Amino acid sequence: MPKTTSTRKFRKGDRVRFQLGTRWVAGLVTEDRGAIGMGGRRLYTVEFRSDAAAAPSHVELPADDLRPMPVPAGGR
Amino acid sequence: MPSNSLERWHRERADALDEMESAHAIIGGTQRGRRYAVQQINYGYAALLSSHFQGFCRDLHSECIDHIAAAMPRQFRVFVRTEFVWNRKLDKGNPHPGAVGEDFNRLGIDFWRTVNALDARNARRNQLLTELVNWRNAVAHQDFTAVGGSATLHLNRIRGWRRAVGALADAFDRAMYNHLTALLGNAPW
Repeated sequence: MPKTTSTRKFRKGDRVRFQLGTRWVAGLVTEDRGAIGMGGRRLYTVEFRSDAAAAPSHVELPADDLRPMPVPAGGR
Repeated sequence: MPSNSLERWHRERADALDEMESAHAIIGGTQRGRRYAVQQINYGYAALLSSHFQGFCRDLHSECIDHIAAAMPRQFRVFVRTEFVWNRKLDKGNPHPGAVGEDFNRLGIDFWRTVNALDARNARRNQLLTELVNWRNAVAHQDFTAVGGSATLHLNRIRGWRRAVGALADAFDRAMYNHLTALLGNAPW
């Protein structure tokens, strides 16, 4: 059983990055799904584009698979 | 042990639905104005029941994906997760039996056949779920043609739907438990 991460690490609107195959892509947290994952870990819905021209896709990921993106100067 | 999704159904979601029962008890009565208010509460109750059942189904679907993805090599997980939620009916529409079946079938299970095999009463509960969703749509669009033309909705009917979808929630949990145990080689919850 993996270590659970049921506490909230991200919020809707947070910019994150995660590994898609062998590369890292940026995404936006669109929903906190709650502690419904394996072992009670928290899942987040993340919207992302696999490349700049692609339509947005969605994925649900545990917090451990997400890294926060630095907030740009001047706000989110 | 139930899934996290089923626990949420029995706690948070049941609490929210119980609030509608309480509101009904507070407003209840036989005077004309009260009867109108009760009818609006019944509409709200039916819509909320449909919404929470949809939420439960979506939660359980996500929870199952999390288990399946975790069994795969790390570099493939995001692809699998993305594919399983792509165009998921439960993200957009009502928990109509067809939509529920379509989404869960993508996880490699013959969903409704499995659920119906668990309990002979589940086929009838499937019909009651359809009835609930049709009423939810009738309320949302204020068009009662599809539910027989009458706009009157009684509390006992909603309670019947709630018992039916509650039993279905337990059955969905059990069906996916059995499926994931067979698929992954160990009990998911």
